[in-house]
Amino acid sequence: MKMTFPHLGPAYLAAALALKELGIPVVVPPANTGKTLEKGKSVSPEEMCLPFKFMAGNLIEAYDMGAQCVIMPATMGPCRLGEYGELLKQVLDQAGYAMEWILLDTPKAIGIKEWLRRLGTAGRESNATVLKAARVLTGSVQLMLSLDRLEAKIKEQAGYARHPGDCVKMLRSLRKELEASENLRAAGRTMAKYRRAVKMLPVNSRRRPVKILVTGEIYTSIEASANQNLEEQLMLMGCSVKRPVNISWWMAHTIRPSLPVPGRQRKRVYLPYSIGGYAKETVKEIRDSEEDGIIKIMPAGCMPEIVAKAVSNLIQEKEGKKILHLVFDEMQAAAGYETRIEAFVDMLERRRRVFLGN
Amino acid sequence: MYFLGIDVGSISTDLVVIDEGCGIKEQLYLKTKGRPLDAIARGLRELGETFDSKEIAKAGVTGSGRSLAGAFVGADVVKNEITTHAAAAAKIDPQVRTVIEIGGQDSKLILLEEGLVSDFAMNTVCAAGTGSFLDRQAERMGIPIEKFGEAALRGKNPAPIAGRCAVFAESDIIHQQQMGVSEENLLAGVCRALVNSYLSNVAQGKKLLPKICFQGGVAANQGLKAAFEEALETEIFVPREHKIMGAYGAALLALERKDAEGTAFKGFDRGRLDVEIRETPCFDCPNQCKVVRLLHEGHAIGAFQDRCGKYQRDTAM
Repeated sequence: MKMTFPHLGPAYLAAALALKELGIPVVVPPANTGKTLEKGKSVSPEEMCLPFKFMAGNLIEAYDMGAQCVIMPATMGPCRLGEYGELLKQVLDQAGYAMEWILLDTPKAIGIKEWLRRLGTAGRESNATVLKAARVLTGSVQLMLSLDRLEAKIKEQAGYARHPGDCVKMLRSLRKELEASENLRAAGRTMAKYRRAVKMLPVNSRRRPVKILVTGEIYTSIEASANQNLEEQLMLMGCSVKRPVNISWWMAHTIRPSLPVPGRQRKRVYLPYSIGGYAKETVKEIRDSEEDGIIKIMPAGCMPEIVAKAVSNLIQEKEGKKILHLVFDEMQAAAGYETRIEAFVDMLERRRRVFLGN
Repeated sequence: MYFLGIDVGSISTDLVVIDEGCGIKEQLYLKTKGRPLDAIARGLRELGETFDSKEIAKAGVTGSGRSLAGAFVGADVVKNEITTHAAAAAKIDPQVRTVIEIGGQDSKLILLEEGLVSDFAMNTVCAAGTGSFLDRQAERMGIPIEKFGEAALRGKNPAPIAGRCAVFAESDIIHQQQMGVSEENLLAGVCRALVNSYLSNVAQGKKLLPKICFQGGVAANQGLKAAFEEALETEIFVPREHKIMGAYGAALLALERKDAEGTAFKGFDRGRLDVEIRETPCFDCPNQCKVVRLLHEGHAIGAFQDRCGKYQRDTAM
């Protein structure tokens, strides 16, 4: 039974390798394009958010390539009242794309027993021992963590690189090489190679780049095709880009509450309650940011982030932070976004020049 | 030495020449009419009669057609409209804290702090709050757009019109017409609807501090100025140069670079060239840019939309 999963940034790299090593046949859907979105739209309710449409599109494309089973982490909770995964399943079922579904909700939501059972269903076709399975899973999680760290490093470096384009190129070729790796071990070697390459990048240490924090809705943040390559645009303008919301962040955020370790809870002035999605976390990041400017992104119609936007307006007013809000939808007209992003970076640059006197 | 600024917008293409003291020497306001290249060429020919190409030290371009203009005339500065409009407003009156700019296809709000942009917003939803909507309504009622504002000022009892969406607004206007509402009141209603939609869609609750500067082609409309004054309960300043502020700002930014050597400006004679636009997909890297090239008698004289800049370098000379 061929397995597939929807895209979320670089997650497919680790997931595909893990499944491969366990001997489970896997179909990786083609990268997100306009066509993916068209297919997703054809089955989704009109008012659905952009990530849903992309994911539905991924699964349709995978189905056409022979996938029979979907495995998907579904963090019962944040979005669509926790029924996000179920909804996706229903929508595709009704449209005639019948597949088996393994929804890995958080252990906290469904109980550790049920969680392990579902994980077991996923692994029933593998003849790997439990020990090997555990080793592979750990390995792929480690790959994900180190990939996120490395990408973050390269994005930060973009502001200091002599040619900002180098960093963009490096990010692209890194993913490409990982995509082609045979197994986790080979992927590990690729990682080591790129870690060395980052250190060799020609830098201009005298540069003081504009630093930008990208935050907001998680899918739009992680999946570059849903934000019109926002980060690449920023890097090419010579900015240092920081985006704390990545797969590692999500893993930590999802898994920690099910462990008996108490997290450090601090009182949050602007948005003390969780209102669904990751709005609370977005607000926290905006509040705590020390970058020159913040770009907050979300797909059209994302309720939690709309609330976060309202709250961030208040933060902007009270704490003088510079925030640019971008809402992404199916519209592919890049010019409007470019103008806004360019004007925002321009604004930060000019302000710094005047206030710092250089 | 002089500095050239060009603003290529959806409705108008403006050209401004300034001297080193930021004074405007010459200004042109031309209709784009969907053919930006022709409009720029016309402007260059006209300016070429007064100025010598060698007198232009630096050139700056802005507006939605800035990449095209930059490739065609050769620009030292290619900047977005927000930065240029802000620069122009701050130069004309340093007291300005708020810039309301309404153009043909978009509307912007720029907040300034000591002459520097501190926040900005652009319309997102639809063209309901922009000049093209006014144009269309004026045309539908058979009133020349120049007379629009004057007539609207006479409307003492503005008709209620929903301003959120251009299509709904039009249905509303037609309905009011059938109900026998006078033309003046209708026009006044359109102005009020546009202002409300601007304040809710673009300004979105941001604080508009005085002094407020209203610019862009639409600022010529007296009725709209009055509607803004009524809604914001403060006086609104419309600079004499309101139509060409973008181009003026582009020229000012070009002036900022005056110490750098040389210029990319290719001369007013560009206005006499027969230019063909060709879109070439480039497959040299995964970016797969759709490069736009400007050809004259088969030779490339300019290019844009190539992210790596390869085609632009080839035609820089």
